[in-house]
Amino acid sequence: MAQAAAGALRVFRILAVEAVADAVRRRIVPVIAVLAIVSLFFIDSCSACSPAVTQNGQPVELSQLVGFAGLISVVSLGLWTLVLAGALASDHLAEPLADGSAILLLSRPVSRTAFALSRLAGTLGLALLTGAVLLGTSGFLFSHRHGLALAPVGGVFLACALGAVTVAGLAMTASLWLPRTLTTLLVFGTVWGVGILETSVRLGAEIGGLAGAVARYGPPLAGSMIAALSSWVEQPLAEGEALRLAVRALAWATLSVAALVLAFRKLEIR
Amino acid sequence: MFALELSGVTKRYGQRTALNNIDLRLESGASLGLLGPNGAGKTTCLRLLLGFAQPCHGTVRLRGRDPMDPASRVGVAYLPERLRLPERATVRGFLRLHGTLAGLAGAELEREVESALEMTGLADRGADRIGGLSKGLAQRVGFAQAFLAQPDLLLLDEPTSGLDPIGIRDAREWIRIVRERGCTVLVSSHVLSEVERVCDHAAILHEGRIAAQGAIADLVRPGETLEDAFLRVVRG
Repeated sequence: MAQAAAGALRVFRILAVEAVADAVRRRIVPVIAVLAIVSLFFIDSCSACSPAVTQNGQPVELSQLVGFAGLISVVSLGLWTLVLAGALASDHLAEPLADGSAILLLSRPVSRTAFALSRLAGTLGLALLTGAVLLGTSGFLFSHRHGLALAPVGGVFLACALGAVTVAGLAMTASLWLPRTLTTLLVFGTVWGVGILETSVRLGAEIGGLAGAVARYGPPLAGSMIAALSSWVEQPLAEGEALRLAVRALAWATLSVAALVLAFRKLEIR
Repeated sequence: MFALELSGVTKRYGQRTALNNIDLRLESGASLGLLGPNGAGKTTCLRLLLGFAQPCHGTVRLRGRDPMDPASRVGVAYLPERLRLPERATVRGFLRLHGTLAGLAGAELEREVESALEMTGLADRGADRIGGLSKGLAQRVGFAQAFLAQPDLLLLDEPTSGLDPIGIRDAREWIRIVRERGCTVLVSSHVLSEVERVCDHAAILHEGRIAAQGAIADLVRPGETLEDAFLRVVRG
């Protein structure tokens, strides 16, 4: 049993390295790099400025708003990282199946589970590397320039990583039946839609029906990142809220990976 | 133990029946040519054997195991008809990946990769990117990956597709060499002359059924070629 597990792990490692290399060789990578650099220039410029802001006719120092500005910037970058993970996942498994290049690998003693998970790992490797650079740099700039604590950004990255597993897993599952463009559009709409719903409910909006259920029980894509930065906006979390969000994020990530594995095991490969 | 076995297998794609209650067995060490016109179900047989698809009825066994079990593919090598190789990989890098997945490591891996390159005439192309190779050379890379780790069972789907006459002759020789090592070989093809030269048994698939099977010497009547026997069986 232990020998079989070690063998499966070895195969997974080989395939995951190959899948990461495949992801890095994609034509979209230079575009991602350029967008990331532009985003960092934008964050650099935003975190350095101090415009005159008034509230009820009284001047407000930017330092009083910087926590909110930092939160919005970092959570937005986190959500873009999730969109990137989903967009990369929309063809990282489907394409080698469609063009036949997966056939030779799957004719080796490779389990379908190992193959699907390795492709997911390739997607996540590239997306989370980008996310780490974006979140880390923006967190550092807000911390260095405005004295915000840097540690919560680590929590945002963990929340982002769990969200990325959820989004990429579901996108990869959908890509087994849907065309790439449609899957990418679904990813874009879902990530920002769920993010906006969650934020609205968090700010006290009354949303019922399916949208309300998604906001309360769906994957906490934005909610867990906002919660991680609660100290930046001096709004402490309710008791047990962090744990509830972590469990919800973990449950969605697990369900998403399970859906991918089950769907791929049932798939007929042509 | 049979190297491969299909018992009472039916496979449908929607309304179309690709295989209809077929029985096919291949003993270890033997070689079988799977013959049939286009659309007869040859590739479907291979897909079922490799676990790419599941039968609607019947059982499929590869080396005595369910093909969905990865362990059934230990010692099995496959060359698909529609060969797609990673264009950006080098020939040697691609072979190293497949050798590793076949269970090789270290010096043994390097030795097997070099041996496969040598055998298929690619010794001086190891550092080349696959995307820069001609179709015939890419097909040789496909053969090279199939010969890694000295397989027990070789499944070849239209193996000479894309090869020039010299390549076809070489492929025939490579198959002869692996057969001499005791490897079981299944060749799916509609090039009857090729099958006649490399296999001792044949099964003729027609409209999803096994129309005839047995030793080639038994299928071919006196004065007939395998092509004559094939046409007789297919045309009734």
